[in-house]
Amino acid sequence: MFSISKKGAGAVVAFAVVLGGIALAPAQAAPKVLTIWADETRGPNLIQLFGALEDQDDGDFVDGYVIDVKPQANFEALKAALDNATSASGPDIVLGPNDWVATGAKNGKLAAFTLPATIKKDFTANQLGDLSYKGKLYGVPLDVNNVAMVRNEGVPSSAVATFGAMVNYFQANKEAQGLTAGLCVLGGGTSWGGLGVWSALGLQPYRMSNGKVDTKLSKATATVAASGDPVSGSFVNNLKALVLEPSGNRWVSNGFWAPWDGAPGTTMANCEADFKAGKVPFAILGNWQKGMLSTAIEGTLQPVPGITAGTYGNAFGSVSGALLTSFANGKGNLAAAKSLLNYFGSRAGQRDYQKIENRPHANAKAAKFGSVFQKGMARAAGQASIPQIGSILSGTGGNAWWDLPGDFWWNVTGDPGVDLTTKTKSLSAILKANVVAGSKF
Amino acid sequence: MRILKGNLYAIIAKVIFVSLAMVALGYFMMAAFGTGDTNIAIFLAICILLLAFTYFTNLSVPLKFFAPGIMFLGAFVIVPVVFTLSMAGFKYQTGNMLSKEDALSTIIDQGNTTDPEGTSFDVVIGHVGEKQGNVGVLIPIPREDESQVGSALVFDSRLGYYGGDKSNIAVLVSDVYEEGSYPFFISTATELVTLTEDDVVLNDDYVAVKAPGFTQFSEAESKVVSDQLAGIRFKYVDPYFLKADPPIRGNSMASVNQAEVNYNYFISTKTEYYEVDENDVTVDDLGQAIAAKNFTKYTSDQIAKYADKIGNVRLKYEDPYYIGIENLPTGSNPFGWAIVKIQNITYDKKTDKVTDILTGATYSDDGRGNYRNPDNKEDYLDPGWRQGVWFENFTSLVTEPRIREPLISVFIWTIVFAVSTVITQFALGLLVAIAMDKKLRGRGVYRSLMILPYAMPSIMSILIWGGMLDRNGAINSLLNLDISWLQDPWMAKVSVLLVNLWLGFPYFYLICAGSLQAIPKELAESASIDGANARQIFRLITLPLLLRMLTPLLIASFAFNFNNFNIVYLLTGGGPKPELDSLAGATDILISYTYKLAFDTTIQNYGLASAISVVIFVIVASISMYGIRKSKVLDDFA
Amino acid sequence: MINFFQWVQQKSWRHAVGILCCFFAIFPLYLVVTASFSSNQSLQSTSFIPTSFVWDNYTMLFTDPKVPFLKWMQNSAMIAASVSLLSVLIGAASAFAFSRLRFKGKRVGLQALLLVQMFPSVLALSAIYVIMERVYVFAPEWGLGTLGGLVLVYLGGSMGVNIWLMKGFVDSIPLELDEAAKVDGASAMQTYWQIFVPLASPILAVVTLLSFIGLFNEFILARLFLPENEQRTVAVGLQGFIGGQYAQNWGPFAAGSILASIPIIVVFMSLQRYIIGGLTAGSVKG
Repeated sequence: MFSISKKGAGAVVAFAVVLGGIALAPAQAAPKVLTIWADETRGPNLIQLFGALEDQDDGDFVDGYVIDVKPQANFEALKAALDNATSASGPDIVLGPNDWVATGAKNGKLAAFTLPATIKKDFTANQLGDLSYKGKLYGVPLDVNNVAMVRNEGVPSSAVATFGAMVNYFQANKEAQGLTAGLCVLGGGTSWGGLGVWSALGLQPYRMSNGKVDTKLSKATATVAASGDPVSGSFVNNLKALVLEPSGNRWVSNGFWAPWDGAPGTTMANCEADFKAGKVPFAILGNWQKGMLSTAIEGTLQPVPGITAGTYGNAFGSVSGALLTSFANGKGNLAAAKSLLNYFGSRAGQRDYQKIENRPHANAKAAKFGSVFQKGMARAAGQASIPQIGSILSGTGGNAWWDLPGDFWWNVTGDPGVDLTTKTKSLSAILKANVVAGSKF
Repeated sequence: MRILKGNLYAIIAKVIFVSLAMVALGYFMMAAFGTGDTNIAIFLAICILLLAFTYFTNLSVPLKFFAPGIMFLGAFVIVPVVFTLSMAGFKYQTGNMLSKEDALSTIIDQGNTTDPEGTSFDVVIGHVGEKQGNVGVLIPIPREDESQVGSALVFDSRLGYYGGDKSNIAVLVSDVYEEGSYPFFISTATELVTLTEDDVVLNDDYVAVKAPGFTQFSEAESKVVSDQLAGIRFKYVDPYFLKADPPIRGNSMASVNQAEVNYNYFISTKTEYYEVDENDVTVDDLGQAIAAKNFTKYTSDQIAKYADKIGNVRLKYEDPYYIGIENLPTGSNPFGWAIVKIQNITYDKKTDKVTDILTGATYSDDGRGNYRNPDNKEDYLDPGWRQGVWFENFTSLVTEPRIREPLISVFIWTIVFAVSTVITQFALGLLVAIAMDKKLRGRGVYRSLMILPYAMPSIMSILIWGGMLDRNGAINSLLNLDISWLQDPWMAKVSVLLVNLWLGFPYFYLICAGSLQAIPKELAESASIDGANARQIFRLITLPLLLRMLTPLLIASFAFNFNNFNIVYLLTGGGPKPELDSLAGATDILISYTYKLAFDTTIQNYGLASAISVVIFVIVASISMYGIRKSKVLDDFA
Repeated sequence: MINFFQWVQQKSWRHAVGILCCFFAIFPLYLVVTASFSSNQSLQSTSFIPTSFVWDNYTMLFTDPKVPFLKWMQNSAMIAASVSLLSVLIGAASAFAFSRLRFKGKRVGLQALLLVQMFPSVLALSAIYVIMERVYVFAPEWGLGTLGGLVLVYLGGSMGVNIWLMKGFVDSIPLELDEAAKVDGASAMQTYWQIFVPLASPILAVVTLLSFIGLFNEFILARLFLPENEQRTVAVGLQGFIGGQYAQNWGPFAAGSILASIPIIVVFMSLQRYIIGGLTAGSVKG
C-alpha cells in the first residue's frame, strides 16, 4: 500500500488510536475456531465429518476448539483465495495438492511442523516427501489423487496386456460393435487423467528413477522418446502405429484415442454414456468417481498398459494434504491446528474421512479398510504412479504440461502436411526446458 | 417549472446527510487507526475533509457533484490501480511476495529444528505459580530401566457393559490392525474375555459392535459413564492395562498403558528446567501425573484461552535447546506433545546477515530479494521479499523473446478484436434497427426475442456457446460441418468475434433504434424534397448524426472490449496455441495474457504482469486520446 | 434491383432480417432449455430434438442442501440492486457536471475517467483484496467476505463506466431547459435536482438496469470475495457447477441459468418500451 510511516501521523494518530481502541473494544466469542479451506468436494465432506459448526461440542477434536470448514466454489477459486489471503482472513489449514507445498513455503503462506512418530510411521517416505520442502514437513498426507483404467467387461471379456492389443481390439470390432472410440477419459482431463496414454506412447513430462526426477534421463531421452531412442523414434512411431492414420496430406486420429472434448473421433462428454453402453471398451476413471460405474467394472481397475506386456503408462499419483498455514500462527491457533493435523493423519481420522470422501487412503494402515474401488485405485497407483511435481509441470521453463499434450494433438491432427518429427522435437525442447528450470526451483 | 431557491428543508437535509456521512467515515477512520491501518485511516480523513470543504463551503461547485464519485473511484479503482502499476518496479513473483520485514520474521519463525535425536515428550500442559498465563509443562519421563513397550498401541472399541449389569462397565475391543495379542476381546476392570471373529458382529471398519454378553451403551448412557472412565483400568495382558476414552460417534479408543511405571518428573518453564520430587507430584488413578507442587494443569477452557501462548512458548531445556509445545491435548489424549528444538537460524541486525548455526552458513541480502549464501549461490532462504528492481521488468519485455514475441501478436489481435467487435456489433445493431424502424407486423415479437441475448447473464451464454462451437457440438452437427471452431487459430478468432457479436448486437440495436427516432424526421423530409434519395439521406444525414450521437458509446464499447476478459477467458481460455512453445494462445487478448502471467500458473509473476499493464495502459491511453482529439468528442461541451 | 433503398423499404426484407436475427439470438438459448431438461450432464451431446425430459435439474436446485439457489439469487439481487441504484445516484451527479458545467480541468477529468476504464482491472484484484482484507480487520461488516464489502468495491468499479455512459445520454438532452433555469437564477445544484433529475429519469433507469445486468454477470471478484456457500452470488454458484475439477454438471447449470435469467428478462421485457425510449433524446421532450 501507499506507505506512510506511523511517526508521520504524529499526535493525531496517538489520539485516534486511543479513541479507536475505545470505540472498538471487541468482544471475543467464546469457543475458539479453527478454520479449514477446502475445495468443492472435500469441503462438504469434511463438514459431514466434523459436523456442522453449530452442532459441534468444542473439544471433540481439539480441546476448546470448534472446526469451521469453508468449502470454496471450486479448485480454481480455492487457489485464488489462498494466493491472496493473509492472516487477516486466511485459514489455519488448507486442503491442497502437493504441488502447493513448495510455492506455499516460498511465499511464506505455509508453516512447517513435526508429526509424531506414531503417525509418521503409517506413511511412506515418498508421501511425506511430497509434502515437504527443503527438508521440512508442511502437511499431512490425506488422500491419494490418481486415475486408473477400467474395462467394460461386456466388451473385451478378458484383460489386455499391451496398448497395441487394445488398439487391435478396437480396430477389429469397430464395425461389428459400433464402437465410437477405444479409450476415453472419464475423469481428470487430457493431460492429467490422460497421462497414462501419453506415457504409454512415450510422452512424459519427466522421467523418474529411484523416486526422484532423473534430470539426466529426462534430458538424454528428450522425454518424448522411450529409453534410448532418438526423438524421431518411439513416440512418433507409436503415434503413427497406434493412434493416428494418414488421410490425404494430414494425420488424423484413427478413432481409438479420444483425448478430450471435440477431439477428432469422439467426445469426452459421451465417454460415460458410450462406455456404459459398451461403445467404448476402455476408459480412464478418476478415484473420486466411485459409484459412476458398477462394482463389477470397478474390479477391472488397472494402469494403462504399455507397449510391451508388463509395462504401464505412468499416471500422476500424488498425495493431497492438509497443509498448515502460517496464518494459524498469526491468529494464535498454531498448536491447535497442528493437533488437528494429527487427527487428519491418524488411522481413525483417515478412516472416518475416506468413508465419506471415498478416495484411496494415504495412511497405509487405514488403507486396509478400503472398498474394492479404493483398493483397485491404490493398486494401480502402486504399479504406475509418478509424483506430480508442480514446479516442472507448471512450466517454469516453458509452457505448462497441462496444455502441451492437447496443443500437440491439435497441432498434429489439425494441420495438413504437418511434420510429426518437427512438432515432436519442438515439444521435446519445451519439456526439457521445464525439467531443467523446474528442478532448480 | 418554478425553481425553489435556498429551500430551508433542502439545506437542513443536506447538512444532516453530509454530517452523517462524515460521522460514519470518522468512525471507520478511528477504527482503522485502532488496528494500525494508518494508510486507510489517512485516506478516510482526506475523504472527511473533502466532504466538509465541498459541502460546507462554496469553494467549488463542480466538486459538489463529483465528491462522492471521486471517493469511490479513488478507493476502489485509483488506489488499487496505482498500487498495481507501482509493482512493475519490483521483483514481485512466487517466492518474493512479502515485504522484507515479513520475510525475515517468517525466516526466523520457521528457523528452528528438532534436536538430532528427535527428542519429544508427552507432557502435561499447565501453569506454574498462581499466574494462569505462565505456561509450563510437567514432563513425566519413564526411568531408564522401565520400558514403555506397547504403550503406543491403541485399539478401536465400543463402550458398554458386560453380563447384564450396567455398573459392570466394559469395552469390546477390536485389534483391527493386528498389532496386539488378541483379535477381539471384552475387557472390564476385573476380567478379560477373548473372542474370535465368529463370536462377534463386525461393522464396515472390521470393528466388533456386538458380542455375547456385551451391551453397548446408548449415547446418553455413554455421556453419563464418561466421567468414570478415567478411573477404570480395563484388564489387558499383565503388566499392561487399558484406558478407554469417552466415545466419539460410538467409537472409543482404548490405549494400552503400563501399570506401575516409575517416572522421573521434570518441570519446564520459560526460565527454568528442573526435576520435581516424585512425592510432590499428584497422580490420578491411572498413574498419570495431573499436578505437581507449584504446577496446575490447564482445564480444557484454559487450553483454548492460552492456545496462542502455548503454541509459541519456548520453554527451558539444556542450552542451546528449548522445548516447544507442538500439540495440544485432544478429546482422547490428556497429554500434550512437546519436542526439543533449537533455533538454528539467527539474525544479526547490524550486518543484516542470517546465520544457520548448525551448518555454519551465513546468508546475506543478495539485492535480488533473498538471503543467499555467498559461498553457494544455489543456497538461499525462503521466503524472499519484493525487491525493487527499477526497470528490469520492462527491459525483460524487450530482451526476452519468450515474452516479447507473444506480446506483439497479442497486442495486434487485441486491437483487431476490440475494433471489429465494435464495428460488427454496431453494424448488425444498426441494420436491425433500420429494418425495425418502420411499422412491421410482429415487430414486438422480433424485438423481444432479439434482446434476449442481452438480458441473459453473459457468463452463462458464453459457456453455452463454447459447448455449441465444439467440434462435435450443435453447430457442426446441425449444419453438417466439420469445422474446428475453437481449435483452429483463425476459426477461434472468428468464433470469439461471432459470440461477442451475439452478445452485443441487441444493445446496439436498442441504442440505434432509440437514436434513429431521435433524429428529427424533418431533416430527412427536407432532404428528400431537395431530391436526395434514401441512400444519400442515410449516408449524408442519418449515419453522421448517429455516429455523432453514439461516439461516446462506441468509445466506451471499445474500451470495454479492449479489456473484455470474460469472453476470452470463458470461451477459449485464450487458446488454441498455434505454436507449442508460445505463452499466448491465438485468441488471448492483452488482459487474458497478462492474467495468465499474473495468476493462472503456479509460478506467478506480478511484477512482470504489472509492467505489461503499464505498457498496455500507455498504449491504449495514447490511442484513445489521439482518437478523441481527432474526433473532437470532448470538444462539444468542454 | 434498381434502387437498394427502395427495396429496403419493402417489408419482406425487414422480415428476413428479423427472422434471421431472431434465429441467431435464440438458437443458443433453445439449447440451454433442452439441456436443463436433459438427464445427461453434458452439453456436447445436446441434439436438436430433446432426447429426455426430466425436472431433476430444477428440483435439485431447491432440494439439495449444498445448493442454496434461492439464497444465491437473493444475494445477487441485493448486491446488483444496491450497487446499480447507488452508483447511478452518485454517478448521475458527476455525469451532469461533466455535461453541463463549465470548469477548469473538465477535459482532463473526462480523459482520466476514460483512461481508468482502460486499465485492465482484473489485474488490480490482489490490491483490492488486500485493502478489503484490512477493512475487514477494523470494520468486519464492510470488509472481505461480506456483501457490504463487495457492494463498496463494485460501486467504485462501476462508477467510471456509468458516469461515462450517462454523460453520453445527458449530452443528448436539449440544453434549453437548463438555460431557462439559469436565467431564473437557479444554482447548479437546484438545476440538477429540480430540472435535470426529473428529465433524465428514464435515462437513469436504463443505466440502472444495464448496470444491474452487468453486475449479475460478475464472477471473478465475487468468487474471491464471498467464498461461503450461503453468501455466493448466483453467477459464482452456477459457475461452480461447471468449473469443478472433478465434474461438470451442465444440467443444473442450465436450469439455474434459466431461472436466474427469468427475472431479468421479465423486467427487461416489461420495460422495453421504456428502455428504448430512455435511450433516446426524444422521450425527454417533457
